[in-house]
Amino acid sequence: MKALILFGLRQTLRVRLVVAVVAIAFLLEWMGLRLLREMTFSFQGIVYPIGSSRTMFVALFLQLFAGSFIAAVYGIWLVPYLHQGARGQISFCYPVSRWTYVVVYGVNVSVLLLILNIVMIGSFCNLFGVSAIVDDPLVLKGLWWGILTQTLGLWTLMFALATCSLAIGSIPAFFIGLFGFGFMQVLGGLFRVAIGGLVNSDSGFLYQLKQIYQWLPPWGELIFELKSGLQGEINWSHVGLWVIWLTVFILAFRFFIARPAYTRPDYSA
Amino acid sequence: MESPIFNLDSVSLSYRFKPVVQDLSLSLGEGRCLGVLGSNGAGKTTMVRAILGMIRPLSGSVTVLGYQPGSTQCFRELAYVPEEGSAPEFLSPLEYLKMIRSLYRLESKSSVCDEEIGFFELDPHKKIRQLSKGNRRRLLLAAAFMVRPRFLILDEPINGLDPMMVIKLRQRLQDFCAQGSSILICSHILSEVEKVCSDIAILKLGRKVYSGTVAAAEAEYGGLENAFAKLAGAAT
Repeated sequence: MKALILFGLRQTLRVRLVVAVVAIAFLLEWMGLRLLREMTFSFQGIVYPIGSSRTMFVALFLQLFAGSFIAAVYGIWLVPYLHQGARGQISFCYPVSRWTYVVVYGVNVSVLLLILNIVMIGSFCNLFGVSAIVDDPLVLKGLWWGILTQTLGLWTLMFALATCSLAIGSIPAFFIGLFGFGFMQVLGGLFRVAIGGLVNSDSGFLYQLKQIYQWLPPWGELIFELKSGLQGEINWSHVGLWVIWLTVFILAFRFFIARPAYTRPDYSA
Repeated sequence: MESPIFNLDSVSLSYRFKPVVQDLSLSLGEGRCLGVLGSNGAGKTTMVRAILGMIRPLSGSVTVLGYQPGSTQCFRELAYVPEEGSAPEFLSPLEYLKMIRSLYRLESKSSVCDEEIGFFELDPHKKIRQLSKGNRRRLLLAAAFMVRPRFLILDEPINGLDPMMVIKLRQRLQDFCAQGSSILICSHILSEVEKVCSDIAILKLGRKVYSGTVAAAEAEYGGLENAFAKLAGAAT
């Protein structure tokens, strides 16, 4: 396992994904938060700075986009690398349990997400001070909750896209992933906002869609989860749903790496 | 009686619902080198994939080194070099061989990587993506020999190799068999099979039309080329 973890880390380094992670995280987090620090809002003529809870929400929100990018790139292009085409036949004969690959890819994407988290927390502390996190229990709780739900969501996304890439190829997986993730965000927004009470009626297409949506991976709920976490509301039912979908996609991924994939490898490192 | 290295018993295989190999029975003993010959599409590679566990037979049974094909225990004693493909391009030959050494739990044998790099005359630090086709092939062969397998499967092993390396590889294969390991070679190059292999099997349209020793085929048909032409080349 150590050899494969090392292989995976070398792969992320040599295709410069780590550089991309640090650059994207820094640009989004530090620059974004730096801008936010300069901003204020006024209420009844009084000017207030933006509070640390709202700032942390923005930090987690920005991290969600960076994390989705990392999980998508890692899942679509880097994970299938060893398992596709003629290279798949070579790696198929390594004396390694297929479950080892599941663990290795999970560990490697976790390392990338850890870098993101470090950059996010580092940027936040650098700009607002450590006390902005430590002194406010809600911010601290919201931060941990945000990291937990994001990590579960991004692991699930990574294994879902890796499975899709092995099954139908990387380019279709990219577009399906983009559409699926975007669609879930739209549905999440639609059902949370419940425009005109349409969604709350107990009949009709939107109602049926909502019933299905409740059982899908809650990618569309992530932004709202981050916000509610910072208000001290923790929705454990979504954690259960994440665990179920993560298990489903891990099993699907394990199934697809049981044999070499004959989809065309679209990426060469 | 000692158990065979691999045993195919009345195996039928299909690829995307199209029958490719039918009712094939074949086995290989320890210390033997089997050359599998056949025209393009005869089913050689499909047969190898069944031995490796990449595809499941429609009927019949396959055992390899006493295990089910495709199992981790089986791969611990087996090495495979496919006709095409490359090791991960972003690694160097030395990094790749060290990774393989670790996967086969051979860390204690620290010199094996250097020995194979020396034998196959590879630049240990150049990236694999910068290597020529022949050198990439050398690297896969180096990895296969490094793990000291009981059973080595080679698909078109001399593709892309220069004549000096072909000579060295031939000697290496003969020594390998003499030490008790077994080899299966799929090749179109009859002269190489004749020089290296002790046994041959000829496939035609997914069926075995001949199996026996190279010496017996030469005696019966007046040479391997004649045997192949008569058995695999005749119209259906």
